[in-house]
Amino acid sequence: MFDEQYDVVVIGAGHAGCEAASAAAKMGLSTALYTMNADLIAQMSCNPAVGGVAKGHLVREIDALGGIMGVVADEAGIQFRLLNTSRGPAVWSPRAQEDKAAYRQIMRRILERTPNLFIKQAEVVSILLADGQAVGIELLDGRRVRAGATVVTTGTFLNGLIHIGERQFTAGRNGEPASVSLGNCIRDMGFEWGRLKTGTPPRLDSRTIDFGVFEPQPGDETPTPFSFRTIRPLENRICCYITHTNTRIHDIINRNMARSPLYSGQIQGIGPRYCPSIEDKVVKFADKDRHQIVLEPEGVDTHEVYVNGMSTSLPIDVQREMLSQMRGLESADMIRPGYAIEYDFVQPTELRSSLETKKYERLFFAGQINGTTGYEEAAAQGLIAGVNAALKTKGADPLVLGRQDGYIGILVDDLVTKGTSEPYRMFTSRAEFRLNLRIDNADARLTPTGRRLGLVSDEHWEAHRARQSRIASTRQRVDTEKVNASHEFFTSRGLDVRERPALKSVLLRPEIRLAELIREGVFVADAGLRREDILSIETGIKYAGYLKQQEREIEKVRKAESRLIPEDLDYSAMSGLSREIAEKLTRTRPRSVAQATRIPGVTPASISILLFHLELRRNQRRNGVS
Amino acid sequence: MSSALDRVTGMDDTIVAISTPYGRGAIGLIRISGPLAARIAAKHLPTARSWMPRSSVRGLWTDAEGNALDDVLATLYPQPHSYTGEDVVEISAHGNPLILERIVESALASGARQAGPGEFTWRAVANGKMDLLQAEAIRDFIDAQTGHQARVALQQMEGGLSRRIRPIKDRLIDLIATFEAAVDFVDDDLETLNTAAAARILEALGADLESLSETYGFGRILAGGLRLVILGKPNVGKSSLFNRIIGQDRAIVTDIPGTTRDVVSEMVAIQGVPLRFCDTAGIRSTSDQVEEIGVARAVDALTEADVALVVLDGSAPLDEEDARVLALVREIQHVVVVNKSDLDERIELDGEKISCAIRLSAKTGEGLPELEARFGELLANRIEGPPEAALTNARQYEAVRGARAALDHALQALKQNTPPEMTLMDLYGGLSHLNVLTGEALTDDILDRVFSKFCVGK
Repeated sequence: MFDEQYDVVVIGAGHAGCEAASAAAKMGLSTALYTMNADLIAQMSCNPAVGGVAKGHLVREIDALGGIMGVVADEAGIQFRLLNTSRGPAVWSPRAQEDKAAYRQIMRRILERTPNLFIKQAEVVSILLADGQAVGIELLDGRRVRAGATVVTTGTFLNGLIHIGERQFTAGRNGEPASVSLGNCIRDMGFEWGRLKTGTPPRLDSRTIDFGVFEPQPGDETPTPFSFRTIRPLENRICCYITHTNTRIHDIINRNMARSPLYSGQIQGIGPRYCPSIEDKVVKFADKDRHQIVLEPEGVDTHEVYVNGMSTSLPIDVQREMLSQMRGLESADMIRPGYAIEYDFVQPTELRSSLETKKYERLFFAGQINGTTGYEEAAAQGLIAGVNAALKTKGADPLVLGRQDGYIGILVDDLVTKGTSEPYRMFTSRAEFRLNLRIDNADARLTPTGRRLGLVSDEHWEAHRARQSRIASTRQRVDTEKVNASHEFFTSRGLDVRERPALKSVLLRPEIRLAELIREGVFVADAGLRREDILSIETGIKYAGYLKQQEREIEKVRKAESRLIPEDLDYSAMSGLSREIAEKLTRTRPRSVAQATRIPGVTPASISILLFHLELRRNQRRNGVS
Repeated sequence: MSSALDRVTGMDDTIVAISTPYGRGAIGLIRISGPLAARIAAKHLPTARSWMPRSSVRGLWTDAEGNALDDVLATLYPQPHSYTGEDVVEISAHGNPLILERIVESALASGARQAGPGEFTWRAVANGKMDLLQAEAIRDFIDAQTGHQARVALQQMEGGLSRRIRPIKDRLIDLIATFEAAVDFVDDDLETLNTAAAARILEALGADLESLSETYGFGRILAGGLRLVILGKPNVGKSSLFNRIIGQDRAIVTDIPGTTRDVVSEMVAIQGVPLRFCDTAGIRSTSDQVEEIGVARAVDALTEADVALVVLDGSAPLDEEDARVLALVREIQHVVVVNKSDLDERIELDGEKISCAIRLSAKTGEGLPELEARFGELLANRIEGPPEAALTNARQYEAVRGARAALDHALQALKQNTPPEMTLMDLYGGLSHLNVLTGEALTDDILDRVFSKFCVGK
């Protein structure tokens, strides 16, 4: 019946698939990672960068759990910037330009060195079902592979359709075939599905660009790594360049609007509002006479340059005309044109919080198939799906991270609770407990969980414990020690402090930084204390009031999360609930009362009614037993 | 945080609310339920420091500063034998809404939380004290006691309220979107966050909320009923008129007479108009006492009245006493009735003040419909005059104050250069208070606002 057999099968070796396969294999399960082209594992389809606000948080969390994206992004990184440092530490977020080719190679090397993990080049054409469960996959060459659990991470490949001006053709990425058979198989499985759209800008040849006219955007003097495990100093090897569009370009776009598949009606899929194409920006913000463009090299060994901000599906001749009107790009040669791609996604309300589908057991979805966008969002889901596929195979309870545990928890909860109508991207504003979900404490929040799952190596775990104890002991010293008020640090700054003030009270002043006190010798820190450790300690002190306030809110949510809703609850039979709300609850099947409160359109009054019924049910059960 | 979440998680809190329908009755009942109930009562009511379960203690309820608020009767119902199944303290106080509010405020200050609508009943259901059908019946019963017209008036007012809240909320969401964009789209070439402009917006919003909270006084009158005092010299038939008005097929909400003020007060809904009749017992019983005392008491009663009902005896000519009563009401809205229309009329109504007097007979009921119609006009006039939006209960008032406090805190934070993601906590706090008022939950519309306002995305 079956030709081969694995505990876990992962379909697609993009950012989600790599994390999923790595996690399942590390958890001791034989894992096969299927890709249509083994040379393009972890291909960055769009911009050559990892991280950014909120996305950098995701990468930190993936790393803290024992995932691999952070390590790869650090090693393949060629320019590093910590964003948002003018804001508070909760929203500082790392971002790095990546060498795309190096990224692929490093990822492949790491996967190949992972025991239990097998890379397979083949096209998967269908998911095999039996008794409402996914039991394996079928390949284009006819082989049937049995799987304890199957993770689908197909990105934009499911019935992918590329648009460039009036031309359209099926493809998964430009130059790669789409997954049509698998796409149709999934369409036929009865899920609620739809079409989304995303786009990418043209890539230019750096030899034909006059960089002298642009504003350089260099990396940070001291790069911040993604991974807690990256110890070696990182190096900036390239520079990015900032420029802007102008009204001549906007005129060209307006003149050619009828030829844009976005506006001619040719594209039906919904695109992301926060990553609009250049034609979208010109139409929707007609009053702006320029839009920012950032030129980002795609690597150190290539001339290819990514034109960030110019994502477009306009015809190639229009793309050329636009570029010719931009100072410095007048004679730029286009290596690849920009394009838009439409693809199938499955409404993520079809999923449980474990990312297993509600309709079919042992089947997990992660990444763009769930309606998200972004490498980081994909990787985060891949990690969760891979872990849960492994746990399912082992017969263990799933891993469900709460919204208070991290951005990964928020990502999954938003998807399975609310579904999505446009490609979903992470923002810090989605995090109601943003102050607590910082990059400096991602390890404290998640590494113990990763360790328990078997994702965190001994070496990683020891380093984690060492860092936590460094922080704890220094924090204790900071809490109890007093400083010398006559130290030059205070006198030279004209700071009026009491005699022998507590270090902690000094740190409460916004202008005084712990790192500075250490550097100036006011406080002698233990050897081995790192920049990141200092940040964690300082944040805990400076923002104690806000953090405490947030902790109270978190407690509320924890309580509501612990009120679980039985899976077989019949909402339609619940007196007092409007039909509309009963349908919403039936569709989402929230696992906890807390999740129910987050379903759009579910009112506080209906939550009361739900609670009534849960309580009645509990009383009936209790009485029934006694 | 959404109020929905509070319903789940607030189960261990101690909650307090006025439990008699708003403003109806000479006696108001305040209920405190939860683990702190007995402790809160003991703090504000010295006689409650040692009491027997299910027996009542009487004493002066004081606020945190030790000021006596009212002479009350309090009863402790220990769990599980109480309405909610938790420790419950019931406090019977005089029906004056202001006093009831202040007692509630004192309990809030001691750690209780304002109960949401239906929360006592919900706890009763949750603790197995009541089933859902019973709970619904109780709500229907309470609802049925509010006259139709008053309910409509209240709804209109609340509609006006949400019309007034909406622009405030709208500007607040805009401000939040601006802050969020500054945090989430740092690389996006947006204008930098203008803290001076943000501070001006916060100040303006604070002023709007302040003027909204000042409408609380009027809203309370409407919700609590118009206070109507019956005046007249002895034996003109005040008491029989009073009894006639409240006695027949009316929705009598309570029939407990006041105990400390010698004022008998009844809440009636006539043609849906909530009216609180106060028959001054003092005047009633002064027929054989020094007249000045009666007048003094009438003056007292008038200071708290919205409308005076002057009763004259149609079977006798106007005399000095009548003139004195009429002089008392010169400054206040009043209705003059000429009683005893069943007898021969000997009164001469030539003065301008009494030309529109209503002739009626408390004995036969003749003329009563005309009086009722006049009451209806009185309320209509009252509603036309004041602002269209008003806060009508303590929950709304507390929400507006809460929003105000949160925005003030945000303003302070701004001035201290607090990072925007922290200031945002205060802004969201303010928004969630406003959401309590409009009954809406916090949704995704912040991001919608960001995307429509700013051109983001590289």
